[in-house]
Amino acid sequence: MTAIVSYARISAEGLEQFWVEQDATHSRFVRWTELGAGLPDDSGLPSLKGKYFSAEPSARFGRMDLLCKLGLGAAELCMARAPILTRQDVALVGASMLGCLEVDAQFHDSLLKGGQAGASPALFVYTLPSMFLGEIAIRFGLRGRTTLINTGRTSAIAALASGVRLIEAERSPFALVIAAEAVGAAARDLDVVERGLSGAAAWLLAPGKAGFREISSVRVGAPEGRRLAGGAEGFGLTHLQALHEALMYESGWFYCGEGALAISFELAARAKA
Amino acid sequence: MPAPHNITVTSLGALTPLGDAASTWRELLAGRVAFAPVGKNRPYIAAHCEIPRRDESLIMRRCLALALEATRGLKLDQSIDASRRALVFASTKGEIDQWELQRAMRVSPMDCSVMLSELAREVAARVGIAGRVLAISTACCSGAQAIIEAAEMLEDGDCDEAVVIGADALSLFIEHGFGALQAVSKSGARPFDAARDGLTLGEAGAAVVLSRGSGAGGRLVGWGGSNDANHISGPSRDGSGLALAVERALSGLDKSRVSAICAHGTATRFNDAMEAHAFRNVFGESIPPVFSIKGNLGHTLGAAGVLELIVAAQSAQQGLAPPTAGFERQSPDEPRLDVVHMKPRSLARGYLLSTNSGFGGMNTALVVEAP
Repeated sequence: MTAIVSYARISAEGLEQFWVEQDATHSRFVRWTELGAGLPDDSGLPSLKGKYFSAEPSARFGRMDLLCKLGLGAAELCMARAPILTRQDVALVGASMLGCLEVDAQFHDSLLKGGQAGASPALFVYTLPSMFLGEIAIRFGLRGRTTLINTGRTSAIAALASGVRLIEAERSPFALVIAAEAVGAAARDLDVVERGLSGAAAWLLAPGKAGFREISSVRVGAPEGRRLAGGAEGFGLTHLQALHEALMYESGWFYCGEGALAISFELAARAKA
Repeated sequence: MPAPHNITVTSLGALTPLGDAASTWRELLAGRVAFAPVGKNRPYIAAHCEIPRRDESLIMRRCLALALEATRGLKLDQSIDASRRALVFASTKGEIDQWELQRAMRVSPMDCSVMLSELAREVAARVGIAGRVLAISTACCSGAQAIIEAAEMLEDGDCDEAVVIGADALSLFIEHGFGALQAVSKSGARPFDAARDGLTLGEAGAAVVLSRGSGAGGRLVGWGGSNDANHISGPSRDGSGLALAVERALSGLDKSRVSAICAHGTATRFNDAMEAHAFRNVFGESIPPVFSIKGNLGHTLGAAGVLELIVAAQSAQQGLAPPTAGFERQSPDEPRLDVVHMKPRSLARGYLLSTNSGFGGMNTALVVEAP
């Protein structure tokens, strides 16, 4: 059994956190307007500030690209409600379909304008989709194994399943799973059907039953139970809203993806108030 | 103590600047260096691949062509249901060169194979893989991390055979990016040498087929990963992050049986010093002989981890370590390494350790032995 110790989500509506304290589940939802955030920009979100996610934000936050801000922001919300962990033993599993496409475009623009001399080292560092995991590792001192998975529109669920497998197989005592998408002008230029929304989610996983919810099992390559519907988030977060609703209200088997690409998981029945 | 792993490398293939997998191994033993000038008015040298023109539609798609070339001649187990064969595809930037070109020409809408998941699916379709498809992108650890993911998919019963492909092609985007970081050598990478002045970029496609149980190929007996949690683009100075990955990979194994290390060895000042510290942290004064192939082939980014596992497996199988091109003497300021150079070194039968590290503090270690 794998417990979701805490769970956080960043969406166009605001910030959400779910956790367990004294055997009861708790949640917190804050709208962007309550945080004093401005109007949404091209990403569909207000300009993100570190203070929205932590009372003592990372000094590096302002320098990060949107994908890192979203990934780190979701991790901040999730870890804020986590019990004290042996941080050396927290594995990081990331998911993103678009990855760093937006910062790739910024870096490429700098090359188009200034050629080799215009290449910005500060931008280039963020032209790797896994960099948000590096920022999270630095912020929390996490020294576990680190991976970034891209299975297309099932990426968030695939990463969650991968995190559960790490716990089930005792490959890591804890796993922090983070799915994030930064959707801007570069994504909208792609030959894809969805418009997509920027956002992120994070789940802290540990063995046992003391979680906000528990996942009993995961299976790949065989759809089982109810299908998670696709939502407006699109890209790697396509099934995030359906997963969220399952986590809030339901139990049993759920899946996304078809045939050999399907990922299924079983949510244990809710026991807590 | 964890149960021993039992994953076999049943087949391998590559296209590198030194040819296919067999030719690359021969040329590495001969100390051949593949560096050449990048082009007119560009200050770098790099290691380019000669990609055979088998398919006109791939002429402009170097990353895809490299991936497919690496799979030529791979032996798949035909008794396995195709839906139980998985692909784990590793790349740092995929078809960034194509995307760059389309953006510069203002083509719209843009080809979506810039997203690695889409490129991986195209590779799977072309290779005939009908099972799970996963793309991994963890900077310069991508290839090795893909090996780890595939091995664990096999152990978990998620597939019966896993094809792992690492591929990255040279592009202006990558070249100027590393140039902006002042990480590129003007004269060619010299891993672990006192006078090293940076990496040389390379391109390659490399592929392995993994399966459960024993076989004629090399056995993958250990793996581990870690994060430095220290700096976004520089390695930890003390090597503690990589040491953690190596310790995890060697967990349950006798580390005195490591006969050689195929190091990441990029030839940047900080990476190579970090690795020397990491190896001392793990092995004390008894560090096994170390070699790097990046003085011959350059840094092949997402392909590096797969390519280096191939070289490590060949090294274990033949009991030979290739010489490290460009190495003459180590800096006295770094923990002493026995760097294989000038000529190949005969090795005692044992484990070959292959290490990689990347931006974002990522580290991986793989342990392979002869069957």
